[in-house]
Amino acid sequence: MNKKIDNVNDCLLTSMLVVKSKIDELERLRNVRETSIKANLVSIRFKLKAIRHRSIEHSAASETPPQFAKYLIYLLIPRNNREAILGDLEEDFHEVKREFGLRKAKFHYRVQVLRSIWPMIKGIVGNILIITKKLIM
Amino acid sequence: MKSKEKHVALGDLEKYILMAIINNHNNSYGVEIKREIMEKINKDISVGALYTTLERLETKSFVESRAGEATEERGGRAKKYYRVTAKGQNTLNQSLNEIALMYNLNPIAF
Repeated sequence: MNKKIDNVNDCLLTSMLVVKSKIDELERLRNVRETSIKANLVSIRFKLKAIRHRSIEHSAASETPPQFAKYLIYLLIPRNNREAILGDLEEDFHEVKREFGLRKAKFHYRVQVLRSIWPMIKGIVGNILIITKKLIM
Repeated sequence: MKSKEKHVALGDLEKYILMAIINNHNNSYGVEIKREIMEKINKDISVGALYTTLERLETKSFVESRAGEATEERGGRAKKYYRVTAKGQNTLNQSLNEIALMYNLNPIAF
C-alpha cells in the first residue's frame, strides 16, 4: 500500500514538475513577446516621428509657388524684369492662397505664368518659322 | 500752328497703364497697376503683358522706374515702382484730347 502511495506521489511530483516547466516556458515566451512588442512600439513611435517631421518639411516646401512654373519665368523672361515679375506673381499667389486655398493658388500661379510667357513663346516660334522659311526658299 | 514734335500714338493698354499709375499718386508697382485696371475697367491683364508694355513706355521715356522695398510675401524680391514723366503726361493728355474731340466732348475736362 505504501509503495503504491509512493508511486502516486512520484507521478504527481513528475507531473507537477512538467507543469512547472511548462509554466516557466510560457512565462519566458510571454517575456519575449512583451520585449518584442515593446521594441516594435518604440520602432513605430520612431517611424511616426520621422513621418511627421517629413510631412512638416514637405508642407513647408509645398506652401511656395510651383517650382517648374517659376523656372519657366527664369527661362523666358528677360533679366531686367524677372525679379519684379516673380515678386508680383508670388504676391498674387499668397493673396489667392489666403482667399481660396493652396491648390487654387498653385493653379492660379501656373495660369498666370502661362499667360505671361505665351507672347514670348509665340515670338520665338514665329522667329523660328521665319528663319526656316528663309532657309527653305 | 502745328507742333513740330513727332506725335506718338498710345495704345489702349499703354493709356490704361499710364492712367493707373497717375491714379495712385503717380507711384505704383506692378500689382497695384494690375489691380487698378481690374477694378476700374474689369480687364485682367497678364503680368508679362504689363511689364512688356511698361518697358516699352520706359523706352519712350513716358515712365521712369525705381527699385522699391522687398517683402517676405514677395519672396524677398524688390518691388519696381513706376512714375509717369512730364513727357508721358503730355502724350496721354494729347491722346485723351483727341478722343474727346472725336466724341465732341469738352477737351478742357482732361
